[in-house]
Amino acid sequence: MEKDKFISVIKDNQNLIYKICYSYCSNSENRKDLEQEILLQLWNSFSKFDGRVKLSTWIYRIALNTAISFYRNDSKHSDKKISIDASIISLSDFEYVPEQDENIAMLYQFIENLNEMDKALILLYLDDNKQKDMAEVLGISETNVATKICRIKKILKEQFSNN
Amino acid sequence: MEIEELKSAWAQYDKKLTQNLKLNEELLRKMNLEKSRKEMNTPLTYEIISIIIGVIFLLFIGSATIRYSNEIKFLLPGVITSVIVAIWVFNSFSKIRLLSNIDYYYSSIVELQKSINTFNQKYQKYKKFELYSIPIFAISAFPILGIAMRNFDIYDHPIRFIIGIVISFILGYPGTIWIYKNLYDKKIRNTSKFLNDLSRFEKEE
Repeated sequence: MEKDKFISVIKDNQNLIYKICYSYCSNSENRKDLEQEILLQLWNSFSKFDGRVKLSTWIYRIALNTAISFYRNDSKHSDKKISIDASIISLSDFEYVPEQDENIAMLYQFIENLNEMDKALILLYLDDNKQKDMAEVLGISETNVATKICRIKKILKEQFSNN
Repeated sequence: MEIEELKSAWAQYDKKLTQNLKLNEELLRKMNLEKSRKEMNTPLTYEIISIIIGVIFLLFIGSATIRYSNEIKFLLPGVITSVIVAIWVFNSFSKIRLLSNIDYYYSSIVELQKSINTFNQKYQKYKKFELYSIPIFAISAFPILGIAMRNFDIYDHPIRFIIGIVISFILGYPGTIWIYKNLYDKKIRNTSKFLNDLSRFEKEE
């Protein structure tokens, strides 16, 4: 029963997980590992979710924290828990290829060059989260979020006008 | 291109993902989810086992040291061994305390990353002590363990003891220094740098 509920939550939020994996891992092999690591961490904490925060906030926190730790871990391939050599969340066969979407490809390229914390910030911003929610997920003040967003927007604008 | 246009392109991308992404439920079920929950507490279990073994060893060495306390040649190694083991046990307690302070479920990103990286930083420093104390531990434990377990007095065989000391220092120290430099030094630097980055990220306004 709990597993079914979990699968349904993942189904509803698979976009979010997919985008986080894509932003933190440019290599497809690492991406599969990160995806499984995020799913495991979400499953491990699923029974602890008590509705204190919004479900999406909780998923963002766990997924982004896992991605940052994974990104910082030198031994990405040594995790014994990861055993499945395929993507669990993938694009369907008559595929939409994000790389062919010029703006999205450029955005991902921009995100790739950011540090791990700014990556989290820009993802939350692009996904249209409120500043209050972003502050809650990141653990910084709303003013700080606003300042950082302003700075990133400026760089983003410069980069996109140069291309 | 304006930022709002980029955001709208991202929203369009999100819609396309909703239409095209599929979740492989069968694979997700195959991930052995139940087992992974049990594996979560592995570092904690390791530290608890280390404490139990450490305390038993400490009791044994302690009682042997008291038994042979009238002979300085056994008293001194006994005390040194006990102090080293006591510090190892204390470090394991500290690691447990740090591990149990980490809230994986409700911490913000900055908070959790700080806790994890503070733990890593301390862990690596404890590891440094553990590695560097191994040769001294080996030298000091030899006389007291020999006499307590097999009634074997190493001082009656000075050549063997000198060989033991030489091996411990000559091979032990370069070995442990090499291991530490290659496995932990870089990690400590990276962890400290990331902790500084996190503090800056938190404060920048």
